Amino acid sequence: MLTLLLLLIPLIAALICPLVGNAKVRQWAIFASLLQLAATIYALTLFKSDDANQFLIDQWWVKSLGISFKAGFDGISMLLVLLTNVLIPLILISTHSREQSYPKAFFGLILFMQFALVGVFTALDGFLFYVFWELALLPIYFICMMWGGVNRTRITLKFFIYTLTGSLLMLVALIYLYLQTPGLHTFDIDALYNLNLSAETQDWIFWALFFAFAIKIPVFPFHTWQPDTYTDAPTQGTMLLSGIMLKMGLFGMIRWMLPIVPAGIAACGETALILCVISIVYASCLALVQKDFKRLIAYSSIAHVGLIAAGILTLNVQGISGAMIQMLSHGVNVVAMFAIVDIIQRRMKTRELDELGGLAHNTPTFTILFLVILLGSVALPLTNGFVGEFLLLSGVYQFSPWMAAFAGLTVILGAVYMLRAYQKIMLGEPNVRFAEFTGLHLNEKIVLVTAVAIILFTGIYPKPLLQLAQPALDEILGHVKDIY
Amino acid sequence: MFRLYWLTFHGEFRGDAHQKAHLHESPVNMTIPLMVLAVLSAVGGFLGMPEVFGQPHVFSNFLKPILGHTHTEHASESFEWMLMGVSVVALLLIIFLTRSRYVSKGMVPVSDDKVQGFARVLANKYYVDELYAAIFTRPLDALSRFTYKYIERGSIDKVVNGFGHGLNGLSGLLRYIQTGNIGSYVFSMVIGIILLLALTLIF
Repeated sequence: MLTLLLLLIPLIAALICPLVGNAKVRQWAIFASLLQLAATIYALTLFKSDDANQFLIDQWWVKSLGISFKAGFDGISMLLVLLTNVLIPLILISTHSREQSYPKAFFGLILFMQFALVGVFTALDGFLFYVFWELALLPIYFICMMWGGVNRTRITLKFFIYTLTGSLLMLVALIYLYLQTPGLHTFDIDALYNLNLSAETQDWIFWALFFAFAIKIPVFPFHTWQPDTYTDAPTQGTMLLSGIMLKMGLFGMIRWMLPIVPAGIAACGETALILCVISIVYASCLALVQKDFKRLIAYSSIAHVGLIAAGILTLNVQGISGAMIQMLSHGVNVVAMFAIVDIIQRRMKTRELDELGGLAHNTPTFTILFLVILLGSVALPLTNGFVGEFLLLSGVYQFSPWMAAFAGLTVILGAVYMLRAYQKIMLGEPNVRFAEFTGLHLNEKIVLVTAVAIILFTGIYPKPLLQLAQPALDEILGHVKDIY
Repeated sequence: MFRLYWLTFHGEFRGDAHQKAHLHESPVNMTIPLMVLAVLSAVGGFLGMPEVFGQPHVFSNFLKPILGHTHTEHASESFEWMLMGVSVVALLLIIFLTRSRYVSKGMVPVSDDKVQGFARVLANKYYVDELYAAIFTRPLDALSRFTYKYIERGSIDKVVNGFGHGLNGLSGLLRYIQTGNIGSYVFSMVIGIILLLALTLIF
């Protein structure tokens, strides 16, 4: 019942958006997202970590094909739905209603995306998962196309086709798995978990699924769509992409890849892990030489999620719980960073690091908030980034010390490019155009202060979040150990 | 340290009249901490007197419950006296020498960009910063730029965009099959007939 509520609130709110007037639609959207957040917190209070598949909906959808509308929560879904429903209000609050063109479409699309994202994280039927996965792609396509930068047509089309290619392989794998289920075929997740697949089958299914998720996350060398798309999309589009949508790929790895093809991961996972680790250092190196701040953060995002993906592939408990917590941390940090980019760009009309400088001199609040968020991104201890990165690196170390050493370079390189960017933007001679940097508006302050509060609180006391997901992770790891 | 002391506080005043007019004692919130620290510095040494004076070693007795009884080497008494004597005499000598060099003779050190010889290495901090820049910073930046230009843009982007360009090119060729132009259809028919005749001749 609660699952249905959490799915329907954003959907219905999105459908109502065209009926609300242009002036009020932003308030309506924020109200709906806060309502969704309240429902999520209520679900959290009722949630028991130990039970799998809570608040279950299980209705036949297409009975003859074995497709059911099965959606429910376990620890991992709960965390990610919580992330979604906390970030969407922040994303909506970061918009500026006076300068938004076609607001009804914009806010409606964001709410529709929320519906699709909650669906992805709660789907317990393979077909339903695939439907929601593709559904999430549609609103972001329109958001990037209609409100993006100069090259938006070419870039959004590339992003769309590239991601769709990966999803196609995932569909092929899902259909194959469906056909392997005994008796009357079904897409039900429990049936898929209990398949006994031969080693060769597991290998190619692993690669098909990994290819789909690797494009979504993204992992080197399937990442080239990401910098262009993130840079050209409107701020809220980028926040949706980096904050939540890429977590779809990581979630897919945990929920739909680990328990289904564990032998495949044991056999081929090392190659995939090497790709992830290369991705980390590669993206960090590229971030060093970026001149556009938004593009720099896009590359840093590739580096961070490369580490998360590597942690998932290690198949040990530190790696995967680190991945869980880092998904949340990265979501919050990257949304906050893009909010900062937006703030700077609105006032100074540029994102080029060489053209900015000395902004710290008359913006004390912004300087401090920017620094804390940046330190969270750099994974300083006491920030949420540190908790995740520490667990991930310890997980990767158990897999292979050399890889952990290589992956650990992200800590160093991350500090270099982030602090260098901060120095170029905020420090140095007072900016000649400082008068253009007007004070922070209320909505910008809300977003940044909330982000800082989450960063520090989660960094100092991550226990509740870790405990929430622990039983679900243990169960998935149990599945993995059983089969291989 | 005494070079610093004599140069800064003694001898002739080397600033201009404007600076001289503005010289004043530091405010209370700076001098009080300095006073406290000075007293602590003076007293601190007495926490760990050498063996020869026969006083208990206050500091190590304080830590004994934690560290336990550690085995300490006891140097001979004459060695301790000699060590103390040599260091005190050396210090007095240095005070006298630096005073005569910097106060009596009024010598001013050369500015950093004009030093010669080994002093130059010291003035540039053993060139560690430059070494670091040469080994780590510049190669890393160069590697990153190379990677961005040749691997990211030059290879991966070209492969991915190549799919698109390739498809465009292929469709550009394929569209000639259905132009709707009778003349080109007749032309293709003629080519086809020639090919068929040639094939029947060969086989």
